[in-house]
Amino acid sequence: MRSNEDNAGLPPVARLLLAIGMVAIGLVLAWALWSHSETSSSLAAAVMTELPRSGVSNPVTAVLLNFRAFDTMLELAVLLLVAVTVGGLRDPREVSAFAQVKQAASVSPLLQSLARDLVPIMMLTSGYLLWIGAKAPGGAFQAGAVLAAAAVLAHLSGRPWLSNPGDWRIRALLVLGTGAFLVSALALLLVTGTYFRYPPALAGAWILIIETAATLSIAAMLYVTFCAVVPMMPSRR
Amino acid sequence: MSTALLFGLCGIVLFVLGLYFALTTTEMLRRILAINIMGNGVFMLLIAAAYQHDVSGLPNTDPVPHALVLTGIVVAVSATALALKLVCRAHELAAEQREEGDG
Repeated sequence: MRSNEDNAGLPPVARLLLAIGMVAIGLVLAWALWSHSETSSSLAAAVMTELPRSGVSNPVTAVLLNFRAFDTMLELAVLLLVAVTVGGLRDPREVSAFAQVKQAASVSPLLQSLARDLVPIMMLTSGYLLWIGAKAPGGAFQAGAVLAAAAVLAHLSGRPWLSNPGDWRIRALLVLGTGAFLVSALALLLVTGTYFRYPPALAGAWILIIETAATLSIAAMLYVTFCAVVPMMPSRR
Repeated sequence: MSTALLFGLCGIVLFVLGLYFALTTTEMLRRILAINIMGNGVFMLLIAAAYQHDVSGLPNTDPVPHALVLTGIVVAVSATALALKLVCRAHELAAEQREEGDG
């Protein structure tokens, strides 16, 4: 590594000027924040007025899955894009992280029993977070992150949930979130004539279905990227 | 000084620190970390800006920035994962080229 030489990339004068510039930017931002704190511009009132028609009682979930559902769909598309790119960057010759875990039978028994006890609890917690998201802080992203952590724990303890990254099931899970959004948008276009305008009576169930799909998709994406960047220890022998 | 203002100022400090290190460092891993710190500063600032009191003094939190930050966190995590994978791949390719040069 040439990091020691490279660290002196910028001459000290440039660094000093840059630091002064950064302080100036910080001061301008602080002044902007200070002057903004007097004036009140908030969409809270608008959200609260529309909340009864959104199908959920947690305002953040209502914004994410109903009022600004298009943003959330694009976010899931970003996740899909990252998963596809990471998969494309995989070196075809390297032993996949999935296969390596099976050789590594030397996983500590402590880790194995920890995973055996914790993974079901984490899956339950994930389901609870998904369900509670309708009325309290929680929702698809938190649930997906917990589910992905359970998958990673199971993977590290030598019991990967899937044995092959090219498995069609994990690909289906990756597409599920974006797909559910797209299908629901098109179905709503046919039924109500507008994208993402849920009929208020069905909005709660509709949001729950989309959130479930999003949870599975987020968990699959985080798990796939974990497997892509996990250190390749056994192949270094 | 209100709590929200304090958190907002901390967010600005994080943002500026991250920006400085992202511009000055030459190591990719440090740059990824610095950009993450920048992003966290922005998230903190947004959440602090969402916390307001209405006329009666009750907390009146704006849910829209919260939703934006939640979206932002997920996108930041996935972008970081992609950047890490790219750095890993670049290191592998550089190592291969060195081996070929030696051999």
